[in-house]
Amino acid sequence: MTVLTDLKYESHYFNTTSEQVKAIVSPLFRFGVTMFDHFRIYEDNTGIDLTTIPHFCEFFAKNHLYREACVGDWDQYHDGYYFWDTLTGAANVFKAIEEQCQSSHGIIIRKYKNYCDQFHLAGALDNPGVKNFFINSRDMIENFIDYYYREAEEIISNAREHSYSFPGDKKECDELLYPDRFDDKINFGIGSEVALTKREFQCIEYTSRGYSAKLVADFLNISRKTVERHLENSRKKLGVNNKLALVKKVINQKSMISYDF
Amino acid sequence: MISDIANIELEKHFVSTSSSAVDEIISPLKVYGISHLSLSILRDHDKKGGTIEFLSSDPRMLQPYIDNKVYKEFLGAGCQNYIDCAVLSKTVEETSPLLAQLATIQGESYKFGNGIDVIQTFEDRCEVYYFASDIDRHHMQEFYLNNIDFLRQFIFLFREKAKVLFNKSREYRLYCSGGGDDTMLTSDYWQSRTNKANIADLYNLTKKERECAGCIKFGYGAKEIAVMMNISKKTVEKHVAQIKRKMHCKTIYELLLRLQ
Repeated sequence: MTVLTDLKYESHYFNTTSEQVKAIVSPLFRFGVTMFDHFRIYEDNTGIDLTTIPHFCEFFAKNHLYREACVGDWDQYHDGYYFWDTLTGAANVFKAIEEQCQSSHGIIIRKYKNYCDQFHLAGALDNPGVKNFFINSRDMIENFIDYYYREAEEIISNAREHSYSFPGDKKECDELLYPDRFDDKINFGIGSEVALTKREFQCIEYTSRGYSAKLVADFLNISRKTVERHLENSRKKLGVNNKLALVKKVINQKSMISYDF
Repeated sequence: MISDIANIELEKHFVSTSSSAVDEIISPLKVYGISHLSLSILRDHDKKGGTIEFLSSDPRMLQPYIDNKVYKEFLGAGCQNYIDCAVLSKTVEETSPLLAQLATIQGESYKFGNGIDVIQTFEDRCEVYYFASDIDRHHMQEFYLNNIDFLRQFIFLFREKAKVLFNKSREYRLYCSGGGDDTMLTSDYWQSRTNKANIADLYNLTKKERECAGCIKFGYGAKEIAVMMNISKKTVEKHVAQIKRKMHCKTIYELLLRLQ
């Protein structure tokens, strides 16, 4: 295991794979995305980096930017999408990316499993419109992440062997990366208008396409029994007698459901 | 009753009198920091001009809009140029000095800012929903990014609840002359602003394959797709095989999952 600051960047794995990463990410370039960086931190506080901008990684370590951007306790952060320019806690990092890579207007996508994954996507300096691309194409980006996980499976597992550790202990970087934001996790729902939970709505949505409870269960990765219970509960809430009436009611009055779907 | 936008008296106009009703409908959004909504509905537009209807939770937002003739910027070559999309106001302000100026006025005088335009087009009209927050809530952008579907759902709700207001505002619509050809807000502009993409772009599907994939997504079988697309069943199967290959799926079931 090498410490981040002692890495030999030119020969390190993330340098040698940057072309491979570029090839995987290339479908996004058409939409104005110019840089991509996948940064993963494992529970033992080691990290890997798969990136289209390897030279920035060097800059990142030499200037101790990891102190701002890599703080411990990853599981405290919420999954979600974040714009760079609102993350004031790490403003220096993004400013450096702007200077070094001519990329800006980016987002971070954070996914937490047994490790913390962060995807950085950004566009050219003079293209603020790329932010609208992120907003309008969120479904596609979500799909892209799946696609990336599949395509990059091999290089990710290879990168694990070349992972690096962060110098110093966690306390050295004690400033929380994104203050204030993570407290107000958004709860969906518009007042009393919302009768159904997100899951209930999803179950109905799939059922309306003609899928059986078994198939819905597979899609949502829950058991068939749970699906049936969701449907049953929403049936009671909306006061209808059978599944068909339920689906009809929900599809006709989509406005009464306000969940992110 | 159509009056000219240049000489309306905003205080006496329907926009002002209806504002508390609009404000009440949007009150559930306030929990999330969205404090204002202005809706403009554009109809019958060509280069010369067209009509515009306003519904606003706070008519003060509209005064600088009218004073500075910002509406001209929106009209341009007609509203058929609009596409369904969401646009962060900040990204528009960076390219349009007029809108930037407007934003400054709104920010300084009324403390509005951090907005987003959600545009929805229909055959006969185009609805532009402008949601705005307070000037210092920078992370509203993030709320939009994470919850854009939520906003769209809210628009459904809004339409349902504001039916009466919609009819009324149509009666009080305003005529305004357009900006001619000079406008920057053409369809190319919107396209380049938004760059909508979907899963088919990711896997480089052809046009026919996209159509097929769309049908598969909704659970149609090869026979039905063949009828719908007016091609033979064999061809459909060929397309499906190609989609499966491109998307690395072994079975149709796997493909279904991936298309969701």
